[in-house]
Amino acid sequence: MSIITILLALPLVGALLLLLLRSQPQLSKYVAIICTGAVFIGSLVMLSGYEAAADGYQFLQETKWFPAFGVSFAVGLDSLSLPLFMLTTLLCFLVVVYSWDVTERAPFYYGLLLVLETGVLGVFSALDFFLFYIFWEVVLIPMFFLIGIWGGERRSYASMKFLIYTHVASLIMLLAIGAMFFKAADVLGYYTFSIPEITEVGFDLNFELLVFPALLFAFCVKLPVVPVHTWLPDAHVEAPTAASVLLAGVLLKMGGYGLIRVAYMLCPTAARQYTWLVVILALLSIVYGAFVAFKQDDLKKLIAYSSISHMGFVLIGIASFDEIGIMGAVFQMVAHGLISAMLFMGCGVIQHHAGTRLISRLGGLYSKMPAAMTMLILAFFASMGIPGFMGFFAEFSVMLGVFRSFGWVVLLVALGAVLAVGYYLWAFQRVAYGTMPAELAGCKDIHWYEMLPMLVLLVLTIYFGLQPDVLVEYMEGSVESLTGLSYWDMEA
Amino acid sequence: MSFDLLNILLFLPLLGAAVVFIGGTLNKQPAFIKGLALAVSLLPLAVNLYMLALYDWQLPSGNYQFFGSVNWIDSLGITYTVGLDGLSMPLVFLTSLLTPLVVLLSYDEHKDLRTFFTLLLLLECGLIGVFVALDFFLFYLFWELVLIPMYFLILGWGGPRRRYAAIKFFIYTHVASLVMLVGIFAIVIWNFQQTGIFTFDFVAISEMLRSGGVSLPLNLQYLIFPALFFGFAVKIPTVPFHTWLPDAHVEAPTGGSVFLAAVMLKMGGYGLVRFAFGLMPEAAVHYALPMAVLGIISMLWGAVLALAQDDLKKMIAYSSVSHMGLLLFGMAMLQERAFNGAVLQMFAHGLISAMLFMVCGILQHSVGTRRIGDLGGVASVLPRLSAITVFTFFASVGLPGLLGFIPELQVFLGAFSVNKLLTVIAMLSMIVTAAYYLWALERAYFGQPSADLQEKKPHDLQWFQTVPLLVLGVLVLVLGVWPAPITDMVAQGTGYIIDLLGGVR
Amino acid sequence: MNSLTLEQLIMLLPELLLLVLAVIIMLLPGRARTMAWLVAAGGLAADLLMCLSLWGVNDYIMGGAYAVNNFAVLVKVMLLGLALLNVIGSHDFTARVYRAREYYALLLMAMLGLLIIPSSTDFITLVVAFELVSITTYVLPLAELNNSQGGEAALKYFISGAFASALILYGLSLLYGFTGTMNLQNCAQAMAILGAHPLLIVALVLLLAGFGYKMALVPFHWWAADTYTGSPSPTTGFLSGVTQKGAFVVALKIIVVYSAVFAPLAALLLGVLCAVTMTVGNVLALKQKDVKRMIAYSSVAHAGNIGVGFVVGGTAIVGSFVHILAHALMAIACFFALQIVLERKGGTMMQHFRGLGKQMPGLAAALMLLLLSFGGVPPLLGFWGKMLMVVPAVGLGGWYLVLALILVLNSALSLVYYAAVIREMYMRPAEIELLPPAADKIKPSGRSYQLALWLSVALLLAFGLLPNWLTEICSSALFNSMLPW
Repeated sequence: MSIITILLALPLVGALLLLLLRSQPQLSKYVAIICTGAVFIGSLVMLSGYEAAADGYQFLQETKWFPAFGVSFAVGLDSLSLPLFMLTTLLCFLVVVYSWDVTERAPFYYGLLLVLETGVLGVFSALDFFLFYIFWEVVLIPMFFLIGIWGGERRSYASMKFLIYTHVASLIMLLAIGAMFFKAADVLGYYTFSIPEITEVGFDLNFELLVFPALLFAFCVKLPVVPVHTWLPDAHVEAPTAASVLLAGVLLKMGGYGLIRVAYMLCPTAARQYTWLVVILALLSIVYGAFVAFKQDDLKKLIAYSSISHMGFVLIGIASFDEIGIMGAVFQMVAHGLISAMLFMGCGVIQHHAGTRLISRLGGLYSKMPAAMTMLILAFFASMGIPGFMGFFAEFSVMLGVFRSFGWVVLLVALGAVLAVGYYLWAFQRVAYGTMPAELAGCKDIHWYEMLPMLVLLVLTIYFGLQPDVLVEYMEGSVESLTGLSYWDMEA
Repeated sequence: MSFDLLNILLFLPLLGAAVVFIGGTLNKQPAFIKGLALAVSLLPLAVNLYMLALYDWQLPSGNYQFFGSVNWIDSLGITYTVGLDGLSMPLVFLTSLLTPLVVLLSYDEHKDLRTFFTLLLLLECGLIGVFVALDFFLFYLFWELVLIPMYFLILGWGGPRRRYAAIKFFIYTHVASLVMLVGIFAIVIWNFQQTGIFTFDFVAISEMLRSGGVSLPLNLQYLIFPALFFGFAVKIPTVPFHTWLPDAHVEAPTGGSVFLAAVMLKMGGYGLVRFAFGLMPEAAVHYALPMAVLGIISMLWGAVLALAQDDLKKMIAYSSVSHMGLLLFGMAMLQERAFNGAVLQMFAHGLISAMLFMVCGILQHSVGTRRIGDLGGVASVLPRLSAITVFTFFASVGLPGLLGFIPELQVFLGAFSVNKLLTVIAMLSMIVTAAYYLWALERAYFGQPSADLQEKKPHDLQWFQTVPLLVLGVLVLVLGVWPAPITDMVAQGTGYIIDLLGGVR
Repeated sequence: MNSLTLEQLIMLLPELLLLVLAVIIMLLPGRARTMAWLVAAGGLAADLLMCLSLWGVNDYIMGGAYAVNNFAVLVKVMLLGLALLNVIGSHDFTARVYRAREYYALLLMAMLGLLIIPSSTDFITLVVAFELVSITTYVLPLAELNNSQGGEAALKYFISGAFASALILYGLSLLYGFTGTMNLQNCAQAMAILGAHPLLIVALVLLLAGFGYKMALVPFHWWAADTYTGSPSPTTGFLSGVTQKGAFVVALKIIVVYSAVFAPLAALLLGVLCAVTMTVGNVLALKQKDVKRMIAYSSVAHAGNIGVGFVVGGTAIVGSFVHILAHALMAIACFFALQIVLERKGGTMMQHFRGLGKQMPGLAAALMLLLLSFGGVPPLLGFWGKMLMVVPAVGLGGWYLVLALILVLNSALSLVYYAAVIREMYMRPAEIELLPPAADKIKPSGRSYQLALWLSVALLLAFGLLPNWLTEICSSALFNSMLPW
C-alpha cells in the first residue's frame, strides 16, 4: 500500500472518529488537529522519500476496482501534484488551528474539513480518471455544507450557487473524460481510465479540438475564469474563514491542476490552437478581476476578486507554452495557495474582532490591532507581488514566459499587477488608517491561534520567495512533460 | 574579504532593523530606542568609511570593487552579484551617512518610535542594495523593497493628505518599475538567444556586450531603452512624470523627505547611467535629443513652479525636480565633462537637498508652519537656523566654493561645447533658481517678524539638529573647495560608459 | 403443448410459491400484523433464494412460452429483493391499513405478475402478467385508513392504467394482424422478412405510449405525480420502486423485438421521449414545495434517465439496469424516510424539513445520502448508473452525445432541488417541533421504516464503492444469456 493511500484514509478515519465522538464536541478540535497534523507530518515523511530527480509518478499504487470498465484505484504523485499535495496537507492543518474557537456544531464542522481534505488530496493524487472525477465531486459536498451552515447571511444562496456551478462544470468534464476513454480504448484495444495510459495515447487533432473546449470550460469554472467566475465572490463572501481559506488556497488549484494534467497534457495540439482563446480569457480575468476588486466595499469580496485576477496569471502562464511561463503558473498556484490563505485569515481576523468586513465601516484599526494590521499588509504585499515574497517570483516568471511567447501583451498582465497595488493599498489605508468608527473602540488584537498559522504562512512565503529553487526543483518534471523541453536545458 | 565587507554593509541595516524592532518591543523607553537606533545606524557608516579607506582609486573604469557573485536562483539564472565602483560608491556613502543623521534629527519624534526607526533602517538596506546590486533581479528586488518603508513613513508619520500621497507615490513608481521590468526581460531574453545562457547577471551580460563585439540590435534597443527610461524617469523624476514628488514631499515626515530627495531620486539617475546607457549606448545616442529636451523642460518648469509655491517644502521639492533636470540634460549631452557633471550632481544634490529638507523640517517643527506667507522675519527669531538656511540655499543655487557649483559648472561647460543653443536655454533655469531662493529668503527669513512669531518664542537649533546640518555643511564646503576626491571617483565610474558612447558616435 | 415435467415445474417454483404465500396470508387472522409481515418477508426471501438457485439455467418451458435464463433470473432477483425491502419497511405502516394481510397479499400478487414478465416469450403472457401487476396495485393507494388523497390517487392510477392497457392491446392487435404471431422471437423474425411497414410503426408508437404510461414517461406521466403523492409513502415506494421498473423490462423486450428492423427509429422515438421526460420531470420537480411531490416528479425524471440506457444500447443497458436498481433502492428508502417525516412532523412540505439535521440526525444523514445519490454524486450507486449510460453514449457520438449531454445537464439541474432539501435540513433552524412517536395513537416505533431505510443506504453505499460485482452480473446476464426470449 502506498503512503498516499494512508494519507487519504487518515482524515476519513478522523471523520469517523468525530462521528463516534459527537456527544463530546469539546474533543473534536483535538481529534481534527491530531488528524490533520498527522497527515501533514506523514506528507513530510513522504516528501523526504521523494526523488526529485526521477521522472514520472512516485509512491504508486494501483488496485483494480472496476476492471470491466478499466477503473482502478490508482494513486501517485509527480512533480506537478506533489507541491499541491503538500500545500493541501499544510493548509488543512493550519485551518484547523485557525478554527480553534469554533464551537457551533464542532464535530460536524471538523468532520467536514477532514472529508474535504481527503477529497482534495485525492484529486491531486488520483491517477485514474474515474477516481479523479469521484474525488472531484467529493470535494463539493463538504464545501457546500461549510458554506451553507457556517456561512454569512446569504449562505444558502451562495452554497447552492457554488454547488450547481461547479457540479455542472464537473459533469461537462465527465462527458469529455468519457469521450477520451472510448477514443483511448479504440487505440489501445482495451478499456482503461488510467490517466498515464490515456495520456500516452495521443489523440488526433479533430478529436482534440472537440474535447479541449469542454475540458477548458470545466476547469475554468473551477479556476475560475471570467466570465464563469460569478460563483466565487458569492461563495467567499458567505463562507466561514476556514472554508474560504481552503476554497481559495486549495480548491481553485484543482482547476489549474486539471487544466495542466488533463486539458493541456491530453490535448496539446488543440491547446496550442486555442491559445488565442485562453489568452483572451486569462487577460480578461486578470484585468477585469482587478478592476472589480477596486470597487468592492467588502474586504473579503475584494480578496475574492483578486483571486480571480491572480488565477488569470496561472491561466496565461500555462497558455504561454513556455518553460518559464508554465513553471511560473505552477509556482503561482502554490504561491497563491499560501498567500490567499493568509489574506483570508487576515480578513477573518478583522471580521472576528471588528465585527464587520465592510471597508466603509472600518478605519483606524492600526491603533487598535497593530499586529493584525501588520500581518494583513504583509499578506497584501505578498499578494501584490512585492519582490521577496513568493507571489513576486511567480508573477515574474509568468510575465517572463508571456513576454517570450506573446511579446508586449505582457504589459496587460503587468496592468493586473499594478491594479493589485492600487486596490490593496487603498483598501489597507481605509481599514488601518483614517478615522475609527466609535463602535470599533473596543477592538482586541489578533489571537494566538490566528497569528500562528499566518506566521507560518508568512515565513514560508518569504522563504520560497527568496529561495524559489527549493520548490522549482520539484516542479521541473511537470514543465518538461508539457513543453517537451526541460526547464534546465536552457542552461546547458 | 572585500566581498564580505560589502555584504556586511548591505545587511547590517537589516540586522539593525531587527535589533531596533525587538529592542523597541522589549523596552519601550523612547530614550533607549533612540540611542539604540543611533548606535545601530552608525555601524554601517563605520563599515562604509573603512571600505572607503580600502577603496582602490587606481582601478581602471568598468571594474567593480568589493565584488562577489554567488548563484542564487539557478532555475532562472538569477545570481546574487554585488559590487561597487565609482558610480555607486558615492551614493552608497550618501545613504550610510544620511541614516545616522536622520536618526539624530528625528530625536524629538514621538509617534511609534520603534516602527519609525525600523523603517528607516529597512530603507537604508533597500537603498544600499539598489546601488550595489549587479544582477537585474536583485536590483529589481531592492528597487521595489525601497518603496515599502517609504510608503509607511509617509502613511504613518505624514501630513494631513498622507494617505493620498502615499498611494500615489507607490503606484507611480510601481507602474514605472513594471515597465522597466519588461525592458529587463527583453534584455535577458535577447542575451539567452545570443549566448544560450539564461542569466539575470548584469555583469555577465555587459561583459558579453563589451567584449563579444556584439551589441543589442538597434530596433530592440529603441524599444527597450524607452522602457527602461520610463522606469527611471519616474523616479528621477522628469517632467511630465514628476507629479508624485511634490505630493510625497509635502506629506512626508522630514526624515522621509530627506531620504526621498537625497537618495531615492538618485536611484533613477543611477539606473539610467548604469543600465540604460551602459547596455544600450546606441539607443542613448539615438534618444539624446529628446532626453536633453526633457531635461531642460524639467529644469525650467521645475524652477518656475518652485517660484510659484507658497509652501517652502513644496518649493524645495520643485527645486529638486529642476536640479534633477540638470542630471538628465548633462547625460544627454553625451560629452565627458557634462556626463561627469551630471553624475556628480547626484551626489551634490544628495547632500544639499538633505540639508534643504532638514532646515525646512526644523523650521516647521519650531515655528509650526512652512507657509512663506505666514512666515517673515524668521532670521531675527531663529538666527542660527536662518544662517544655515542661507548657506544651504546658496549651495543649492550653485554658489562657487560650495559643492553645488561644481556639477553645474561641469555640465554647462561640457554642454556648451556640444550644443550652444540648448545650453543657453538650460542656463536660464539658473536665474530662476536664484530668484526663487532669494525671494523666499527675503519673504520668509528677513524683514520684521510677525507678532505671532515673536509671541511663540520658537526654539532655535538644538544640538541634535545642529550636528547633522554641520556634518553635511562641512562636507558641502570641503568638497566644494577641494572636489578632487569625488570628481576622481565619479570619473572612474563613468569612464567606460563615456567610452562606449564615444565609440558609438 | 407439452406437459410439464418435474424439472420444469421446479423452474416455476418461485411463481408458485408466491401464489401459495398470497393465499396463506389471506388466511391469517386479520389483526396478525407481525405474523403477516414475517410470512411475507420470509416468503419473499425464500423466493429470492429459489430464484437465485435458477442462475445458470437456460431453458424454455411450457412449449417455449416461458423462458428461464440468467436475464429472467436477474430481473426476478432484483425485483424480489426490492419488494422484500419494501415489505420489511412496511411493518410499521400496516398499523395504518385496514388489514395487514390484504396489503401483503396484494403486494405478493403483484410480485407474481412481475416475476412472469421477464420470463414471458410472447406478448400475450407479457400483457396478462402486466395486467396482473396493474390490477393488484390499483388498490394499493387506498390501503391506508384516514387517507383522503388515496382515492384520487387510486382513481387516476386506474384510469391511466386502463387507458394504457387499451393502447397496448390496440398496438398488439396491429402487430398480430401484421405478423401473424404473438411470439416475440417469431415476431422479430417476421418483421425481418416483411421489412419496414408504416403499420408496424403505428404499433410501435402505440406500444411505447402504452408502456410509456406505466413507465411514467412524459407526456404520459400526468398520473404519476398525483398517484405517487396521494398514495401512502410505502405504497409509492412500491409503485415507483418495483412495479414501474417492471414496465422497463417490458419496454426492453419490445425494443429488442423491433431492433431487427426499426432499431434506429425505435431508439430515436424512445430517446426523444427520454430527453423530454428528464427535462420536464426535473423542471416540474424544481417548482415543488412538497418534497413528496418533488420526489414523485424526480421519479418521472429518473424514468427518463433509465430509458437513455435502452436507447444507447450495448453496455449502456447495464447502466440502465444499475440505475433501475439504484433508483428503486433510493425511491423505496426515500419514501420510507418521507413517511417518517410525515409521522413525526405532520407533513412533507419544505418547512417540515427545516432543522431536521438537528432534530433527527440519523434520518437526516440517511436522507442526505439518498438525495445525493439521486443527484448522481459519486461514489453512491446513483452515480454509477448514470455514469454507465453516459460514457457509452459519449463513445457513440452523434445525437447520442446530445442525449448524454441532456442527461448530464438534467442531473445537474436535479441537484438543485435535492440540495434544496439538504439545505432545509441542515442550514435552516427548525420551525416545527417533533411530534412524539405515538402522536396519532396508531403509531408504533417506526423502526421498520428505519431498518429498510438504512438497509437501502447501506446497499447504495456498498454497491457504490464496489460497483464491479453488480455490473459484472448484469452484463453477464444481459449479454451471455440474452436475448430476453
